[in-house]
Amino acid sequence: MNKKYLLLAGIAISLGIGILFMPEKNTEKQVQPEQLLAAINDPSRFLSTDDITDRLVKKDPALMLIDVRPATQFSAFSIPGAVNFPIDSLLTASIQDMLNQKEMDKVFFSSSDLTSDQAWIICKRMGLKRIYVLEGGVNKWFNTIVKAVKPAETAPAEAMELYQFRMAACQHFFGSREMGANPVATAEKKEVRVVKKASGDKTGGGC
Amino acid sequence: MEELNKTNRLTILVVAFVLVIIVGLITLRRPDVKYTLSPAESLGLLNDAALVVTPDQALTLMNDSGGKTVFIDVRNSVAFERSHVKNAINIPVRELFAPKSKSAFREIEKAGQIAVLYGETQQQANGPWLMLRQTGYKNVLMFTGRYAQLERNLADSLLKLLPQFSETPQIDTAALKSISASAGISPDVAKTEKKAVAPVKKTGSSGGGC
Repeated sequence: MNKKYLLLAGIAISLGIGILFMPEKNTEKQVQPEQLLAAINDPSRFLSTDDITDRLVKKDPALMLIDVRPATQFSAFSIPGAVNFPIDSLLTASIQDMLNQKEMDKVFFSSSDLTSDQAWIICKRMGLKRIYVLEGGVNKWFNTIVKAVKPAETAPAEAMELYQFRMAACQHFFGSREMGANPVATAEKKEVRVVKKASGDKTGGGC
Repeated sequence: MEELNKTNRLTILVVAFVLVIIVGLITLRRPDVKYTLSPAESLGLLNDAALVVTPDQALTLMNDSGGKTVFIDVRNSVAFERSHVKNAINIPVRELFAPKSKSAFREIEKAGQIAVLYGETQQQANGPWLMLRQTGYKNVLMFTGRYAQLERNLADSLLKLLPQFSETPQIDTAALKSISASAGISPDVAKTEKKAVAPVKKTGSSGGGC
């Protein structure tokens, strides 16, 4: 009987020691490689520049634009309303807390969509939810929205609408362009006709 | 009698205890693929120029690598069938951790070769490259260009025409300035143009007389 108690105690102690020496398990939250690969293979994480612009103009409170480029590039030019989390500092506790807000759509972007995608992969591995990548990055955003090209006359109506949307969005962010300034000027350009009557020129007839 | 009963109970307890532990150990889900790098370590991979292959380097590697380099094509099998780099192995992105792919990578590692991942764009090779690096493959490099740059027939003719995606900012500051500048000027323009006064003089009235 005593032996069995000893056996039980032995098992319990060995298990306890085993647990003591087990590697620290912080992988609980992390996405496993297979799932991460499946997520990488799924292009739904890419959001278009027009989509983002639409949400920016509508002041979507759930949208969080994250510029992962270095601070110098961020200060030179970035998408209005974006915050700058350089990719090297992505794993610091304060930034991870910011990214962990469950009710926000976090959209990463860089100049193209390579660095931002790398940031996305690391953050996806960390188990963050609702994270996206801006397709084409700032370069594409600038070239589609700010430098929107007027479609040809023969283009379908949708293309024209899209162009007008982009123009309006650009105006929203940076003020009006030349195109926008003109109508204001012409509207105020009322022609004022001042009719001067020559004093000595009265219709006074008479004999 | 009571003693015997007690012993039996104890035996059952010990057996059940051991059984539970054994079953637990057997059913413990052990993932096939595990991370060998921490997230911080994988973040450190990103700016390392030694882990990527530029288009120029790739072309020299293709010509004379001495069997040291194996090109891995991560595009789908249809694109691979159409054309691919000579002697390349096709491992589409979603089959990256399939047993077949794993054995292929293990062979490359054993032979002391270096695998260069390429896709339609660098973007496509980026994910697989990062995944392999994070799960412990140390001989995997990423090609930083598009597939078209590796294809000899296309390399000379189309190389310059293709839009290059790069991480250097391509912001046309002149265009931006013209927009914000015109926005600043526009009120003045409106003011000056506002008064377009066209004085009209009346000429000789219909002064009648006798």
